[in-house]
Amino acid sequence: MIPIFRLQLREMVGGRKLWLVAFLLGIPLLLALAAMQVGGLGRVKQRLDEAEAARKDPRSLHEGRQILSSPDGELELLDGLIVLTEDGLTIHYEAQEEDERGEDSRDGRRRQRPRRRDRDYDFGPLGSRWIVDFQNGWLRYAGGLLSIDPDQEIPKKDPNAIANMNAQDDLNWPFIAGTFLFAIYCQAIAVLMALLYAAPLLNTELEAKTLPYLLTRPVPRWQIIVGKYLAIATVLLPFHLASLTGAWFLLEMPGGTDLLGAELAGSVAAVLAYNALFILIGYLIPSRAMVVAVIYIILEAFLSFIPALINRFTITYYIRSIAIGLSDVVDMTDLPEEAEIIIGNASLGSSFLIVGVIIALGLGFASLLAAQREYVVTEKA
Amino acid sequence: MTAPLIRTRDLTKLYDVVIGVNDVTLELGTGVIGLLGPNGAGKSTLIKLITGQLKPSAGEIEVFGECPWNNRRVYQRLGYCPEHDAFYDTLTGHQFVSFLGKLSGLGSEAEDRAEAALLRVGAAEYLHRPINAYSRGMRQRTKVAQALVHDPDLLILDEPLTGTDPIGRREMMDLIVELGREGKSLIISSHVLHEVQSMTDEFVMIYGGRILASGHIQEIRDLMDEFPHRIAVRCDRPRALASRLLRDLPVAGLEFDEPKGQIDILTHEPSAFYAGFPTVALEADVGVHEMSSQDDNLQAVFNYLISAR
Repeated sequence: MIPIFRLQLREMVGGRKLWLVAFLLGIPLLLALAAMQVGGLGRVKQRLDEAEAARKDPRSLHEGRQILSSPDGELELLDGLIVLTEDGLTIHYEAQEEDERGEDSRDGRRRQRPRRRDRDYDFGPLGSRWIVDFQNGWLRYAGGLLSIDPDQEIPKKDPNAIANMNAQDDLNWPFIAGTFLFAIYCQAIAVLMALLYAAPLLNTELEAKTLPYLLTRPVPRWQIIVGKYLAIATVLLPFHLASLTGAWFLLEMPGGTDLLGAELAGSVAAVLAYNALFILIGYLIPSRAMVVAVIYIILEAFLSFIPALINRFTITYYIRSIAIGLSDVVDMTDLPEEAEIIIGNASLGSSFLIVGVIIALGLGFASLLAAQREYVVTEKA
Repeated sequence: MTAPLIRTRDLTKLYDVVIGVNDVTLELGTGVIGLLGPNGAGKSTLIKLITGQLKPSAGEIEVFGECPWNNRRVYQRLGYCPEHDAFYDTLTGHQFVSFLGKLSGLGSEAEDRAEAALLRVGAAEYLHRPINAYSRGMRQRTKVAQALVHDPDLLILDEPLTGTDPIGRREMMDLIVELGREGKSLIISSHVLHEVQSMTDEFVMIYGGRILASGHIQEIRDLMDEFPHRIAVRCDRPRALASRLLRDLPVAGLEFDEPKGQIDILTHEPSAFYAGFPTVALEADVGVHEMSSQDDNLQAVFNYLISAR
């Protein structure tokens, strides 16, 4: 197994794809830097700090930035936009005051403005929780990252929504930035890098016509697969973990390494699990491995947000459970059950166990296929 | 006689609907054996079955008395040089050969054995250069070295002479003959008859997935001798040349193509004909523009053999 491991290591270190790995892992670092420096997440953090200060001392509130909070701790946002109560979430649009003459003051031309009416959208407890989690988990960051001009006025309609939404105890800065990093490293990057090496692992040897050298040697087929798998992990993990740690400090995450440790553990689990799975895909359908792997990635991204049983069949769910289980940022006991299902609430032990089983099954089935199936180098160049 | 190294019974390999090897029953003993057949005849399929890269669709195959598919005991005694020009290009020749030696269970001695194997095939000066800088001939030698490194009992070389320059070809042939003398068994596949003829007298001829003939070269020659060798000559004065050829050389028949100035000569003894032709042409004072024989390629031989059936 050691010669195979060393060969794969050599092929990877000498190969051009490594630049792509470095590039892929450089992107989130730049994103994190941009987010902190010019807007997006940086602004979110600023708002959070202000909201936290306001909570401690209401007099420190700036004009026009208010948190409307009901006495029992329910949260209401400015402009009456979003109301979160025990019964669930209501999105409430107030009718906007019309211009007195209904006239556009800049060019003086009359314009028919559509009348706005008050509208309420009610979501049940589950739907509400889902929306809040989803907004906090994903859309906020996307929106935040896109508004990169720090001097630009935040639209009047929703000046403090982000800050206020996240001013709840369980939706704090570590949670936001942590989720941002989680989304990028434990999901996007881990999967993309598995796509680079693991999925085409067999097909590369078939296309380069080097496979017969390995198949006609007295080496058990499983050793070929495991040796290569270990080499992939050995090359990818240091890059991955270094990049994540770098982004961590760029995002000025608060002190303490609990959360960083949780994300690092999630990353290791994700890299190991996805690479094993994608090697299996490569042995199942060598010539179409990349396409199938991409379809799998898209499918899993959707399935992992479907509560109840379905998301428990995704790797992401258990990676999330590991990251959340190891961190002290989100107190799972306070969240409603529905939210736990979405976020990933398998116990730490069973999450590690399941990730381990996925790795074993992926490599085991691939080894079985390698021992049973004919993988023939085709004649065409 | 000792038990045959390779034994097949009704061996058939199908690729979907295409037949690679068709109902082959064969016993191959020790020594150097030439596996001859034109491109697409089924040589590589047969070799992949022998080296356990393919499973038979029907029938049986045994190598060293065992089924070769995923069989480490067989691989331990087998050296295989694939037909494709494929390598782990970032490695040097020495690294490549010692890597594969290690896979064959050579431990710390793998490096020394790799060096010895590379020296043996004449690749000494390129030992520590990356393979992607090698010439085609050097790559071919490196490929043979990796098949030799673990000192196997049976060597299977798929088209070992393609891509080699004339000197390299000569050296490769000498090496194969030498390995045969040392008591190794070799199977050499080729689509060029005269190349293999200089290395061995034992042949298996395969065509359309079937074994056409096997055994000593004389048996195949006898088969071929029933069919004359055809040589086309383009010259100044065909009739003058023809009369001298009929008188002085073993010619079985002549056909004239006057407008082209060409004679088609049929002979049962091509070697004698070629040896005597220059003298005859000189004596007749005929300017010869072109001389060609389609029979030089194996395809023609096979056409003869097939029509002989």
